[in-house]
Amino acid sequence: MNCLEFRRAVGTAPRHLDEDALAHRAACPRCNEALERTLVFERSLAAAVAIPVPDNLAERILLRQTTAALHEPRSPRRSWWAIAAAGVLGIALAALFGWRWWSANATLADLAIAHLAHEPFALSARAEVDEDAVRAMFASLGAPVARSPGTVHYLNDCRLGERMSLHMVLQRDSGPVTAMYVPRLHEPRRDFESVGVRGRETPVGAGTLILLAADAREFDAIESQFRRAFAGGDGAAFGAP
Amino acid sequence: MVSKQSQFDALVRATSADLYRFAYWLCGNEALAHDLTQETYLRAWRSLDNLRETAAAKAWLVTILRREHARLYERKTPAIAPIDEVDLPESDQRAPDLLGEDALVRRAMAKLEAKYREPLLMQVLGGFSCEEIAAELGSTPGAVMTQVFRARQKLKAALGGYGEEGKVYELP
Repeated sequence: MNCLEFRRAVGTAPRHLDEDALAHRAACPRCNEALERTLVFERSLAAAVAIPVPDNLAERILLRQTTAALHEPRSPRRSWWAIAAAGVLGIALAALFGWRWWSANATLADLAIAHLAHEPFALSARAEVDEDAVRAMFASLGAPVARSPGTVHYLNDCRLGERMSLHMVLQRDSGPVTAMYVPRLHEPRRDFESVGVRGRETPVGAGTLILLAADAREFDAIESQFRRAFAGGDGAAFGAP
Repeated sequence: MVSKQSQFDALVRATSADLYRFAYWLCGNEALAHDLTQETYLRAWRSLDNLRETAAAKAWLVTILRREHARLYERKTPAIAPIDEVDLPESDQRAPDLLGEDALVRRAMAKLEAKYREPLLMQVLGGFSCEEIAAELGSTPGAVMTQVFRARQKLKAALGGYGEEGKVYELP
């Protein structure tokens, strides 16, 4: 290693010099001095970026997490079908479509099904999401609801193609049902089945609700819950039957 | 057998300070950095089963944090000033003369372009290698080496002029 190479190494990662660099340092007093100057600068830099941390930060984080975890079951093991469903979806989608072709031609339902494989852990969520948090999330996307559309066990705001959506999971007797709500989009009502997933797309409020599950028997009940959530009443005046 | 909760406790206590600092340098706002850090750990808790190697914990958390930060801007633009316009916090644990030095370095750091600041912070705060930073940023190790090298030179130039482009290697 020559002096130029050494200075490059020092300027790139002064705290992680390899054996060649250390050997050059031992043999070259000028480079050794340059490294000493650099290490002074590095100490100054490390001290400056280490801004003060809020008091009791770790405790605050743990308080929030343990509060959220209170409603989780004692043995939060994922059920076999949730893992299997996620695996099947991922493999099936990877095998079926070239990504570029697919993303350019995907329907909203395709995007929603693909999204399941991106967040497979959502299907096994058991903690009940606070109703205020559900309403706040709907409001943040410009689709306020009067009440939570039932007991929600997973809540996230996720991108579906070019649109933002609310991704929810509702644990029902027939298994987990994924509900994705896309504000300000009107898709015609239809039921579908794809890669082993049963689905429903239906206009609710001023957006479109997508329901996905292995078993569709809860779809009618959940759709009604969403209509009531948007209507604040029985929802009879909204959307499809 | 270590429980999931005790694993998470240890993770939070070992990493939360640096993660908060990284969040701060990403967004330039203390309250927002606090919220981002909280949200990052909540998501980490929900997917803790995905963490297989302790050595990968910090990189995993940084990935979640950067995603959370990006989501923030997808939803709406927070009503905060760019980081190069904010009052940077002073440490209360250092001597007054060093506080002044910290302030100078922080201002210079805040004025660095994000493409230089972010990899440098990952190296200085997180101790990541250039290969790890490249993997996180979707870049190449060579490009990251160039970025951190130039970041240091720009900082030095801003702080005293001895890192000017023509003298980057401090060779005669």
